[in-house]
Amino acid sequence: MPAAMNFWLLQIFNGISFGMLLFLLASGLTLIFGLLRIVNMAHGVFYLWGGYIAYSMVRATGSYVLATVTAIFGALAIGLVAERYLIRKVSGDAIRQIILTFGLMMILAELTIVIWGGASVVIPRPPWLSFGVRLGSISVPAYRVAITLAGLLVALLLWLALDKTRLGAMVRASVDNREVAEATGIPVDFVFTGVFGLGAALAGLAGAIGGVFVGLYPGADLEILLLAFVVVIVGGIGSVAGAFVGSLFVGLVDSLGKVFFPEFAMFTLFIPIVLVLVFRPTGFFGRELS
Amino acid sequence: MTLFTRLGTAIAMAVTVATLVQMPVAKAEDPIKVGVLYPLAGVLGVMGRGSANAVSLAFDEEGNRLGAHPVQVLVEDDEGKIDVSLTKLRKLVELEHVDMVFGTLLTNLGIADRDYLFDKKVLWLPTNAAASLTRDKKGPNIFRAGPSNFQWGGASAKYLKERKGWSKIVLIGSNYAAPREAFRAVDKIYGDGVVEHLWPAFGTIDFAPYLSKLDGVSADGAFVAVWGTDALKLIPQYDDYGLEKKIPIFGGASFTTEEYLQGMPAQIEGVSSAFVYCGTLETPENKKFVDGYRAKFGSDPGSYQYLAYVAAKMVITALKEVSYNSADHEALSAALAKVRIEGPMGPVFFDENHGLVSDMFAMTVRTKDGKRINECIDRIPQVADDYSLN
Repeated sequence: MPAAMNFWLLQIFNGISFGMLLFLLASGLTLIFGLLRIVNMAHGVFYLWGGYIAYSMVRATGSYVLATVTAIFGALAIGLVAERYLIRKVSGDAIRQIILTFGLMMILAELTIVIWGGASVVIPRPPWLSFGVRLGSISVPAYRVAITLAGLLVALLLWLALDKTRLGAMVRASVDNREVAEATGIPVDFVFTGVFGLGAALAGLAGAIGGVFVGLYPGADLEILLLAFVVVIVGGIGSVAGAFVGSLFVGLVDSLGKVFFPEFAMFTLFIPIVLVLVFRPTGFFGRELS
Repeated sequence: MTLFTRLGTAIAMAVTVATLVQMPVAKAEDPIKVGVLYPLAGVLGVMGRGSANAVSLAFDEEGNRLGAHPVQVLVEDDEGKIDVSLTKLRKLVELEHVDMVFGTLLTNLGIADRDYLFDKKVLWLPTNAAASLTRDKKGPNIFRAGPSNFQWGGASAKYLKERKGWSKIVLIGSNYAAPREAFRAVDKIYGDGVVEHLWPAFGTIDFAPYLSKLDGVSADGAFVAVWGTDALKLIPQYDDYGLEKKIPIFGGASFTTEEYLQGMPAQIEGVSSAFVYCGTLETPENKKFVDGYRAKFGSDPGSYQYLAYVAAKMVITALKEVSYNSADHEALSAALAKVRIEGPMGPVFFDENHGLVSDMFAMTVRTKDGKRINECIDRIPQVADDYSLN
């Protein structure tokens, strides 16, 4: 295969794998927004906490798998407590929700500095993922293949859970019409807490994976949250399928934009997004909010 | 009306009296006041606090007493913000009447602070400063106490070309002023020997699209001007694509500085760089510096601490020259321009534009007793700024 072709294949792979990391974060964000109508400013900090928890576990036990599982449950616990004892108190008031989650973000971010010292760290790469993989004619890092597979797996599981299970039907019903759902006996409060926890757990997973990929440091949460918000807005707020397509779109635009206009990285990322929103203000899969 | 007039007159008189009383002669027991202005919190805090610590260490070594004068070190936090920086500077200069100011870290703050300090004629030693402070914005009281980007960039390129024998190199720099200045000095030395420039945006998360451009490129090595959290992301990703084996990284400036070395990814092992400070250099002055810093602050000093420490040491020598009369700012500045001391890394002095001249070191990261260190490989003596670049 010609070298030029390989170059483009590699760029497309780069874009997809980065997009899948964004998907892990954006899927939780979009779920929470879709169901609870909360713009969760603290989502990035759940990611950061997941990453730091995984970092500590890897240092303590050397097991990356154990670290990832701990990160997921750690973030889940934070999410459940936050929803049950804080966010629920201001339900239905968008401004207060944003201010509350923003405050939560600041407190939790400061706590990572108190606990982990605010130093910049990278989670050590698991040795069993530190090699090159041949994909057709190109050679790519195994770690990026693993991120891609994790993203696809999470997308598949979310789709099955939301579309094929009773619990998923309850979630969708609560999203579509809260009053009717409540009237039919769906425990909406319980569903809300569960979904918020699930979103936080996904952010924790993204943190454990992203901590290896891009490192952890004060501010890492905001850097990646910005891109996750872009994904959610482009994909259509509240839609998991939208988050998936939006992640691929943002990942590819980011990757290819850097190739064509390497010195205008932010510009090439946001111009296509502006164009998408001009022609489809609700994003790829979005609906008008009632 | 009358109240305001009276108040105004009273203030005017007070100001006049204060000005008359302030003569540039320090009385025996007058303290020497040292202003220190760095960002102390947040991401920059690691470097800023370290720099402030190093200044106070240098005065500590004198027992915080110079001649008959007690020394007062006043540390302020500029938060990395221009407005805060100027406010704190006014406080130090007009309220505390400091005799000198050390700092700051950010070049844009340095530029913003410059006119004020130039007018006030207070001795000023920015330890991580813009090249322009020794060019069009130079001044008799301004001493650029850190190498300019042209300075370390040019010296590193000369070293790579002449002593390491790299004929073809790749340049990777974050897309902002400091790497751009450094690489202009590199381009001047390498010319067509630079086979690829990569300019990832500041704050890039995924470097892969840039790095893929190096697929099939042949070069002796990559000179990298990417620092802090961006370097943290770049280093493992660079290795992911097998580039470290093909085009090894050579870091510019504080790439492997001690403050960050322990938190760096595993792939930093074996990476070389060149800058003004190599922590393991065995000189009595460096041993005193490292041991003193460790004992007082519990961590290893790096290049930022070194520059701040050496700046303070030079000022202390200049103060001795003027018999500790810190109040005569012009005489103090004139004395500092002539100072030459033996610092932890060898001789240091200021050139005719008040730019720091110091040795640089090529070093390689190694692990010793479970801790990462910089092993000193080569000395690049007496590195001065190239004033033909600006």
